[in-house]
Order: sequence, then structure tokens, then C-alpha cells
Amino acid sequence: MKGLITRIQRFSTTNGPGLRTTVFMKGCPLRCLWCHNPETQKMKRELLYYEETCTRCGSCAEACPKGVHIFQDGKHVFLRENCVLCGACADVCPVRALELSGEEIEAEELVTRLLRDRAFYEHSGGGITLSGGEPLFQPAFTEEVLRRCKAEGIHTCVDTSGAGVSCDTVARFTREGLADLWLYDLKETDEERHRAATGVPFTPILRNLETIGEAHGKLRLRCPVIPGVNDREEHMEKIGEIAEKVPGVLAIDLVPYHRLGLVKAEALGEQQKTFEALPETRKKALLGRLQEKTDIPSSWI
Amino acid sequence: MDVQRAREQLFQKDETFGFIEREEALHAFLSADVPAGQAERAVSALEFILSRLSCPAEPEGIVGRMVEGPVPYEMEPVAGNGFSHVGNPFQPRTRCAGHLTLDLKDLLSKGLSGIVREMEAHAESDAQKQYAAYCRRAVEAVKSFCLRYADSAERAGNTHAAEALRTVPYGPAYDFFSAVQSIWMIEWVLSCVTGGRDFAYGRLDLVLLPYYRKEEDPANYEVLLSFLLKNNEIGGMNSDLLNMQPVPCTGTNIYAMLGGKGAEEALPLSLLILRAAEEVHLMQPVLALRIAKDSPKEWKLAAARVTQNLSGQVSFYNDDAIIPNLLDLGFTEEHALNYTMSGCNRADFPGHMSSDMYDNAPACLLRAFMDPEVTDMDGILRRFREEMEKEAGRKMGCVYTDPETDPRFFFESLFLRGCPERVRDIENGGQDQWTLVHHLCGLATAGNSLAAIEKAVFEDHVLTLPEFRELVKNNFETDPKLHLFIRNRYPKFGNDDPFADHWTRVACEIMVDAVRSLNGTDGSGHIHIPGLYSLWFHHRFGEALGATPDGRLAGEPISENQSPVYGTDREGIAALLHSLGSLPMEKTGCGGLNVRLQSRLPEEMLSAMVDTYFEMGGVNIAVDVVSRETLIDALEHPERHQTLCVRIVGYSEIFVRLPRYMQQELIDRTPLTA
Repeated sequence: MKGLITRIQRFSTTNGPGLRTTVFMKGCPLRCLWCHNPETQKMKRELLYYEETCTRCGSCAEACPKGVHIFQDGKHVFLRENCVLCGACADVCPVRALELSGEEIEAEELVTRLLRDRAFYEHSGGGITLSGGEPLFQPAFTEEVLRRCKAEGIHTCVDTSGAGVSCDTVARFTREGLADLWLYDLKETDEERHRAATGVPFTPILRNLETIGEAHGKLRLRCPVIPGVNDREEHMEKIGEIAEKVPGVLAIDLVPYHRLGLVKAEALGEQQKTFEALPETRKKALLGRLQEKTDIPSSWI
Repeated sequence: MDVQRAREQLFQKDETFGFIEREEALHAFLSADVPAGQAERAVSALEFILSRLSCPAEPEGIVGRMVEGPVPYEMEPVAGNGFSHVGNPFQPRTRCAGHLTLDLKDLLSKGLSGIVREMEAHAESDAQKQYAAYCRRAVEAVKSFCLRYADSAERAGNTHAAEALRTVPYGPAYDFFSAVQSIWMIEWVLSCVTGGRDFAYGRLDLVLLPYYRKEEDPANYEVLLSFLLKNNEIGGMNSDLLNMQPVPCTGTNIYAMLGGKGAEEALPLSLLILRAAEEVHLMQPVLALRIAKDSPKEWKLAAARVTQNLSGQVSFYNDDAIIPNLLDLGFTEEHALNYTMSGCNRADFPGHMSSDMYDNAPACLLRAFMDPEVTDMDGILRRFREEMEKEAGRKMGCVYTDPETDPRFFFESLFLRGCPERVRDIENGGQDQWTLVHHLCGLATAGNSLAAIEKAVFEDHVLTLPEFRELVKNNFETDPKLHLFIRNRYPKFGNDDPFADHWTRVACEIMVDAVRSLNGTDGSGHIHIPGLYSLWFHHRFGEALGATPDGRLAGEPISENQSPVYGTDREGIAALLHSLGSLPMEKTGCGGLNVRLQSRLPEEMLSAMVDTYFEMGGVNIAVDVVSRETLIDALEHPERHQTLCVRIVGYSEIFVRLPRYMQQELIDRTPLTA
């Protein structure tokens, strides 16, 4: 069973307990306005071009079979629409200004790579986390990776948006103990606003969350707080109410906006909206409002 | 104790001031009839200086401070004279210049008088009797000085110090305060009066444990605070390479080892010292923390907390690697168990003199690579081995003078094993030269270069060996594109890349084996200890070295300590530690790895990281936590970061007081995120 991933981040400390290795998988049903990992959205390989890094050496033009890299008047013009994603240019770029995102990998091979850091997991109470993108967008691959990890006794987390997947799947994953912990995104709690901010409805996401809770899954809510999008008291209150209602919620993480997605979106030839950072006082106030509604541990990460 | 105020005073003090009273006393001493003969001259100078120094005393805590002031002499410091402007009656010295671990147990249990009494009892020959008499004069001079200091402390209202100094260091320590006071007075005389730097304390918790047990008193914490602060008073706060304070112990790095096997019972004291160091939050002493797999959890977590709070002052040493490695090198169990570190990163033993030398691996590799007779990889490796053996086999001068004809006196000999028993000064052969630490420099540069040769010439056939030699010889100028590609895209050590790690391991084996092969064969009688460490030699060696096959240009630094070439480790900490764990660390006895975290880790995570790395065989790791952005801001706005401490090669310094090239190097050091 093959899957498509973008990268493997080792020694990660913010994607579940202990020291972990996080796999970022490709493909996502959501199109969040602030997406932190835009290179994971599409379920296909993509070429990122970092213009500022390029030294205009021309190696890519020499290597490209389709002539999509053209150097005119000292400028590097990339004809993205003609690119066949062979990766020849990325292989020869001496400064990594070109990067092919999307590696096809066998589940077995991926797990072998994940086991490399087993000692870090064992010493720290860590494990592996499947993230993305949306890991449940490739359900069969995700299932095989998780099964293999569980067979090795490795703690597993699935970082999901809860969108584009059936209740049956999340229920089964939970019942069969494939995910020791769900990192479950709550991006917006108002139906209309959710659609506007992410492109998909909220109701099925909430239903999947409840399904996991009812199946005795363990949950950690992950709530990106984006200024002007969802930095509202009532959203915080709603998160608190949901956390109280759904069984199995162990903690709530408020995730601040960061701009790393902007650079990658630009390298993909896309435009992403920018947002300002939330002032500390505002962050404190929002967390305070959440904590009025629930005693479940919550913090900014 | 007002630690905050004491810290402020240290940061505000004038770094151009010298030990003015010492200078004046030296001037007076050297202006009169100076005795001939080093021993007579040195003892007389010690007596004279101590009799002239005033005794400034604080109202609480331990005492022992030099009066500092502008040095009135117009002349430049006398070269090689430890920053005296007037001369150095303690010269000539061939070996004793600090950089050693004092044996403090006898000092505390017997006192100076006890040590000298034993010497007097053992003295048989005239030379021995004469030497014992020199030692007697020296300790009596210290005693008189301490009695004066006691009176001064009394006047300052510091009855505790007054009482202690009426007994120690002349007599045995009798409680925790007196033990700490005794140690400080000796450190202070050696550093500030006779003049030398880097006198290490060894396993400080074990040294102090008997006195701590006697009196588990909350006041012990205050004693430690004053002691730790004092360590920062004497050597200046500036970098030891820039604006050094004109004092004989300028830039001293005083190592204290804590924890580890055999120190389990000292845990409460070890933890107390850590807590005090956190509150003092300065660069000295440099804390070396021993960690074993079965060390108490409390110790590991405290170590993880402190290393992040102190950011750079702390490093971890792996007992489970170093002790067996030292046994394998031929040390006894007692020595291996009680290893300590002094002067940056030297495996050391209390009371033993050792020496060190720096071996330049990339230069050896470059000579091998450039040899036109060589046509294949085996040939390059064979020639590299020959060059490394030549490099490691350089003779280190170790000249003892005859005690009959050229008697010597160095005060530190009283704290070196062998000298009291033989009644002979260290410079007269009071102790046999025993260990020689080889700091092997430029591992990653050498490893990456071997990987580049293999890939470019023998795997990818991008160019022939003679063509590659030509390219390297002309500093890659004839093919800038290939240069960029080799530099940025070829496999590099530090990424858990099997190819690069394989060739770095090959380089490492050759480097350490070149040192180990000297043991028992070179006729020196030394135990040669290999370690992967560079101090600042990665700059010095790099400046004089042509381009190397890994894409490093002529004149650029070679790789630092055990680190990857800066900026080439792209895969994060786990990958880095795997790469390091693949090296034959079991053949080394010391060495240094500095990693910089972009932000703090929870204590449990940092501790888990260290445990994992040490399980892989890592020997040492030092972690500091400072973001690249902070360093850049400190470069641009030094006024905002006056107290920012950072880890440099084997100790910490204040970032804004470093020379620019070092600041840049620290900014270039790959920041690791989690």
C-alpha cells in the first residue's frame, strides 16, 4: 500500500505527548484561508519554487526535458503550467530553490523510517503522529501505517480535521485502537463561518468528533485562532461547551497563527491572505473565556 | 545575600583594571635584590606579595578578593608573563599554568599544615628538605595572610569568615562554610597571586559532601551563592579573546563536576549547587554534569532544567560511555570512576597534570587527497592514516629540571598527587607525565570531504581524481556551479544520512586510531586520550588551510568540535544525534558537542533526549537555548542584551562581549527546532 506524503518531521514536541515523529500527508478536503501547510492540500505532487533562494545559475534549465525554466534578462521564469513534475530540476538545483513536494512511499517503508527514532519515543513517552494535510484523506494507507506502528508497540496520534471522512471510519479506527490519541481540529464552531473559512461544513466534523468520543477515543482539541476569522469570545465558549459535552476530551490547545504557510503558498504560485498576530492581552482574554466554560486543561501552544 | 546587586556590580566593573596591589607589590619586589633561582624567588615573591595585599571583606559569605584599579605603568604587559606589567618572578614555568584539577580532599581533611608536615616527615635528601622548607614558608605566608584577612572580616562584621580563616586553609576544614572558604582561598591564591587560570575543582559535590553532612543548614545555600559569585570576580567578564582584563587569571574557566556514578549520596548537595548556580546565573564555574543511565530521575530533570535556565554554562557527560572508555584506554577503575573535566573539555583526574594538543584532521586529509601518487579511495585512506599518525605523533615537550641543580617551587604542587609524597615540585618531576589529550579537530569537514570524493569521483564519475584535485587546488573557481552543488547538495554528516555518516565514521576511526596507536608504543609512557574537540582551532586551522573537497573554501573555518559543518544539518536534532551516535565514540575519552535549541523544551523531553543520545554512545552534549533572532538582535542592539550568556566551544561567554567573528559563528550554528 502506497501513500503520498510531503515530509517527515522528527523530534517534534507539539504534536502529541513526548518526543514524536510527525508525518505530513498530502491531500486535504479543506481550504483554510490561513493554511499553514498549503503544499499538503492537493493529492498530487507539486513543485515549489523559492524565487529568493534562486541564484539564476541555469542548472534547472539544462536539466528540464520540457523547457519550463527560462532565463530572460537575468530573471528565472517558471512556466508552471507546462511542468510535468518529473523533479529533474529539483535534483540539480544547487541551492534547493526548487523542491518537489509529494513522495510516494510504501507503508512498510514509512514505518521503518518511523521506527528509527523508537528510542526517543520510549525515553519520552512519545510516538508517531500522522498529520497533513488530512491523514484520513488516504484512509487505507493511514490504517496500514497505524496498524504496523501498533504492532510495534508505538504510540500513535492522528491529527485530523474530521472532514471528508465517514463516521464509520473514525469509529472503527477508535474501536480498534489504531489511534491512541486524536488531535482533533476545531477551526470554527459556527456553521456558516466554518464554510466561509474552510470551504466545508461544520456539522459532519462535529458528528465525527462525537463519534470518536462515544467510541471511547481520547481527544485533544486543536483550535487555530486566526485574527479576524475566529478570534471571538463566543467561538471560545462554544469550544468549551463542545469539550464538556463530548466524552474523552483530555485537553484543548489554542494554536496561534503563523506565517510559514505564506512562503510556501508563494512558492506554489498561489496567493494566501495574511493575518496579523494576536496581541498577548487578547490571547489571554480568549483563553480566559474558554476556561470559564470548561475545566479541561487548555493553553496556547 | 543580594545576588542581583552582586551581578550588576560584576557587569559594571571596569575591565581595564588590573590587580593593582599585586602589581605594586611585584614592582617593589622586583626593584629590590631578587633572589636567584626560581624556587627561592617564587617563594619569596609569594611571601612578599601576600604581606602587601590588603584584605577587602564583605559583611557576609566567604571572602577573598583582589583590589582592582588602573595600572599606572605606561608599558605594555610583559609578554608571557600572565599580564603583569612589571615581570613575573614565578617564571620560568614549563608546565604549571593552571589547566588542571586540584586534589582538594587532602586540603580539606589535612589542611595546608598537614600536607606540609607529611612532606617534612618524608624528606630525606637535601633537595627534599629544601623543598619542604619552601613549602613550609609558603603555607606560613598563606596562614599569616588569612589571619590578617580574618581580622578584616571581623571588622566588616563577617564573624563566620573571620572564624573560618583563623583555621583554614592552614588547618583542616571543620564545617561547610570553612570547607568552601578553604577551597576559595586556595583557588584565589593560585589564580590571582601566583597567577594561572582554569584551576578546576573536580567533583565538587563529593569534595564538599563530608562537610555538608556535618551541618545540613539552610545557610549552606547562602555560602554557595557567595562562592559561585566569587568565581566570577577574578577572571574578567569579557571574552578571553577580546578585551581581556589585564589580570593573571584573565578569562579563567573554572570547571566543577557534579553528579554521576559514586555521587548518589551527594544528591541533595548536587541539587543545591545547581539551584545556587541558577540564582547566580553567571558563566563561572562551568558546570559539568555527569549522567548515568541509572542516575536518579530527580538529578536528570534538574540537569535538564538548569541547562536551559543557564543557557550555555552546563554540559552533560555520559558516565556509561566515558568510564568504560577510560578503562579501555588503560586507566584504573578508581581513576575512571572519578574522572572529571578541566580546561574546556579535557578528561582529567583530580591532582594529576595532563597536557593536550590539537590535531588537524582536514589538513591531513587534504595532503592525502593531493598526493598525485594516489589513484583510488583505499590509497587516500592509507595516506590519510599515515598523515594522521604523523600529526598525532608530534612530540610534546615535557622537561623536568633536576631538583638538585635547578629547584622549582609552584604552589599548585601541594595539590597534585605525587609531589607531596616525593617531596618534589611538579617541575622537578614530582609527578610523572601521565595523560596527553589529543583534541581531534575538523571531523565533519574530513568526513564530508571523503564522502564528496567517493561520490564525485568513484560513484557519479562527475570528474576524475586529478580533475577534482585541480578544482580544489584552485579553490573551486573554475567550476562555481559544481562547487555550489557539492557544498549544498552532496551528502553531509549530521543528517542521519547513511552515506555521509559512513564516511565520517571512516574518518573518525582513522583519527582516533592514530592517537590510540601511540599508547604503549611511542615510548612516552603517557596514556593518549583521543577526543573530538576543537576549541577555537577550527578557525586557526581553517585560516591556514586551502579548500577541501566538501566544498569548503580556502580560509573558511573547519568544522567545530563534534558538530556538523554549520548550516548543513538540515534534518533536526534526532537525525543529528543519530549521526553522532554512529561514530566510534567508544574509542574516545572526551569531546564536545554543542547544540543550540531555538526554544525551550520541557524538562522531561530534554532529559529524554540526553538519555537517548547517551544510550547511542554519545560522550558529551551541551545545550543552550537562544533563538537566532535573539542573537541577531543582540548583534544589532547590544545594549538590550548585556547579560545574554551563550555556549561557545566548551564554556559560556557573554554574547555582546565576543569578537564579531565569533558572534557570527554562533548565529550560523544551526538552530534546532522541535
